[in-house]
Amino acid sequence: MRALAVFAAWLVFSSGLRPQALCLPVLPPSPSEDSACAGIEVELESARKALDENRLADAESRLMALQAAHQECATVLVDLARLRAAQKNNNAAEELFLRAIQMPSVDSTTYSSFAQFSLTNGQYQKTDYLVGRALEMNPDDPDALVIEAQILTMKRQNDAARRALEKACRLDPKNAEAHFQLGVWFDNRKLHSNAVQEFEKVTLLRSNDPRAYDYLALNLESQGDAKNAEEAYRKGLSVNTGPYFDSFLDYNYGRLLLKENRLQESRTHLDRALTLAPETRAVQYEHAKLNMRSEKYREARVDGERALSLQDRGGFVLDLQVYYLLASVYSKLGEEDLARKYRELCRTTSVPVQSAARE
Amino acid sequence: MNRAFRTHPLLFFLLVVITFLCAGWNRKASPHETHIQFENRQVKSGVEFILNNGTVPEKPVIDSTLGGVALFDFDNDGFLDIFFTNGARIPSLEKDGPAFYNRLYRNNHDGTFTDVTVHASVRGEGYSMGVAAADFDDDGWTDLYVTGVNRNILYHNNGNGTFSDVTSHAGVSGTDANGRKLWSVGAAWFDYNNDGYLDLFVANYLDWSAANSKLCGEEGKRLSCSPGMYAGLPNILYRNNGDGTFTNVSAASGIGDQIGKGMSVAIADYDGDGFMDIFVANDQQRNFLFRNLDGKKFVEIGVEAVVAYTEDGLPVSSMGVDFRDLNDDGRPDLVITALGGEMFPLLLNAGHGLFTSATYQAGLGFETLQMSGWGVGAYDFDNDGHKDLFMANSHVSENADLYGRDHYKQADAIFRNLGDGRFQNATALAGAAMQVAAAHRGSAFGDLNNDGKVDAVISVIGKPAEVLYNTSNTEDHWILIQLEGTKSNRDGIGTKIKVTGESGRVQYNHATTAVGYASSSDKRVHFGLGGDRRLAELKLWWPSGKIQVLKDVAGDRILKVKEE
Repeated sequence: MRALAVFAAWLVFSSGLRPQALCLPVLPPSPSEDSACAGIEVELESARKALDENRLADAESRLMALQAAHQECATVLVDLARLRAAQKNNNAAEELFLRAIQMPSVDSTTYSSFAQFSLTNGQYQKTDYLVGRALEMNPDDPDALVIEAQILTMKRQNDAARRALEKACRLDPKNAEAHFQLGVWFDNRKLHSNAVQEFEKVTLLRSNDPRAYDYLALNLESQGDAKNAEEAYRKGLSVNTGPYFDSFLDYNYGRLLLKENRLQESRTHLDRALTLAPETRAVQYEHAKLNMRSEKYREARVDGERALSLQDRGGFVLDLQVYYLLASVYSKLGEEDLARKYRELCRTTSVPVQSAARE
Repeated sequence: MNRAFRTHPLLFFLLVVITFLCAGWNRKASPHETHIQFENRQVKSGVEFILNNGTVPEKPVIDSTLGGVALFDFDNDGFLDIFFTNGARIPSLEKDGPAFYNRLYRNNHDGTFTDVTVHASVRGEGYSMGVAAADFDDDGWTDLYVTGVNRNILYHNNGNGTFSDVTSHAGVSGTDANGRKLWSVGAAWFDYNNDGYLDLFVANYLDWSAANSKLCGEEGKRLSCSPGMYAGLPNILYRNNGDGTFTNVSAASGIGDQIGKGMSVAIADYDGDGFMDIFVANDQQRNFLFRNLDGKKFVEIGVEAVVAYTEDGLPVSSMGVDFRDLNDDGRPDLVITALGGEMFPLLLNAGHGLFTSATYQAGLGFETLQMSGWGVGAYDFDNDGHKDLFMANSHVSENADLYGRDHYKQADAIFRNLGDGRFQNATALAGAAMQVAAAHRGSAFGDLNNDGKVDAVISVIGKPAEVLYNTSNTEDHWILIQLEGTKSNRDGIGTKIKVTGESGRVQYNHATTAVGYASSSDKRVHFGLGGDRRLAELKLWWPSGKIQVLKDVAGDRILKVKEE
């Protein structure tokens, strides 16, 4: 069976789901910035808090005031850029980042913030360059290492990515994002027990991150630990708001409940998942399965046909899976011609080879 | 609380007594108190067989998939003997020394066995895989069919402790129309046309050869390649002509139309039409269910019957299979072993030609998610009247641990049937033998010491085979039915049996030796009877169409039933 965890992995990298600038690293003024940024720590902290709590107007007024008073402070520009990104004004954010890296007080954290922004926006080449600059300035910048690891993963330099993440975790054991990305690394390789360890750390360090609970649950499920998986899903749902909002938490939990044949509870979550992500094949497919199990064949047909009409960029639910479901649905509805058509497709559709080796 | 005890010692005493009595009552009433247990008596048994896959650093795909075992009574002394298949040197695929011989052990009736391989002339040739035992010529002596990568062999039991290789004469060498030997793994004896002669189904796996062998995994820690790296093969059906020869009817019957990656085969009459159907467990490809059309042709209906894929519409690495009625509704169900991360599918026969997935609802989903299984058998190991599940486990790739994701050596598993549609993982309580992680492969099931409890013999790559005696602390009753067909095939394979205990409890089973992974189990049909000492009725549907009914049958014995 295809690992559900892969689905969550996709979520993190999919631009629409990842919190944009709000998850950029929060930077302390660096030593090199001391003179340009002197005396702003308290006010900067307040501005960042407002930004993290999505009080954007408050953050804006504080940051604008700081910027007027400390025009040479790169850190303030970076936070302003974060604000613009949160306001979905990427052009302004980009401009501010560009200004920040031209400041005399620029340091690795300025570059790593810009790199994170570029990564979030899918500008991978630029990210690669910026994170390279950050690591030239400080090879021990944990945030830069975390970004570098993600670029290395894209380049299929997986071992190097893992080393970078482990180094980041070593340098900054309280860096939630470093543990999160290391967890994702393990999850992608189905190293479930390692992934569980990392996501458990994330939930301690960043207890408002529902994605971490989602990943934790998926990996617990893969280890056969349904009880603790359910607990993690529930905790995730209790904090599923704000910058780390996870559109697929209900989907994954509803799926677990469907496996356990808890149809009513499953419906609550899969209905919500359908509202949150109606254009996602996996969600439509799972909803169709729920309706099939509930003997609501007409509804299952609608869901199934919708699932088939949707593109599945990540290949998480194959055409074959939908065909197999629809063959049964049509058969139940007495639509024998359609049932025959989909049964034939089930026979002729090949399954892509997941892996050359049996690991 | 403490103060109360000090104040009222009599009250405390009464409380203790009541607690004790309640505990005792609970023990008696609890259906979970009997533990299925096994004890490995390999050392005492003298069975020293070690499954030798001849592995080489390249880890060619053949070196992980061998290990069929047969339990059958070759000398008709009433006790099961053991046959093991074995590997060969790679790349020559020749058994160039005794370490690669297939082995036959004669049961000495005292818990020991004697290696009679050489005298019996069954050491074999080529890289062997699976085995199927049955009396194909109805002479009263059980014969053997051994499958392999480069040689399939039919051994005729001469009735004097020796066997003769009659492959060529019989015409069952496992080759295609062009004379190319296909890599065979599982095989099954059954009478598909109910003419009284056992026919032979051979499950073929991959189009592998030393020349097209692929390398997978990193150098120095190679892994077994996925079956997706090779083309599949058609299966073969041989019709028994009744004169010691067979005719390849793969094309005429429709069996040969399907290209699969067959590892195991199991047989049962899933639709109750009196003709045996065939289930083939395909590795990472849709499974096949060949529906028997009146003994004339087969049509593959795995998709229609909803057994081709998992409930998620995906194939799993189907390895072993047992096709047996698990919930005693009169319809045979399917349990399949697969690899880690896939879970072991349980498909319940819902009637009307349809199966429903019950893997998670039955409690097998999450429990088997981290297991990689080969052998599997559905037997009532604790005689409580419900068939339990035994799985022989191990990952495919010897170097799996080096990648950190899975373990090559795994413990076997036992799932106790709770009688309400659920299975409980009872491995932890099943004894020390069941906690041993090893490279388990094929498993055969049967009552080695005729004590009414089903034992198991498991082959293990690189280690002595496990001879697992069932030591469950049950006092429940049982019956072991030994069939003798007259109009039907002599082994009675395919006979459907319904027992009705004196309490009115009804159970079903059928006679088959094709059980689990590439292996062959006791042809006798076992029933646990729970508290019933007697059967009110025993009803048999023979393949010939005859129906036989026996009334008021005593349990706790081996009952010989001759077709009348």
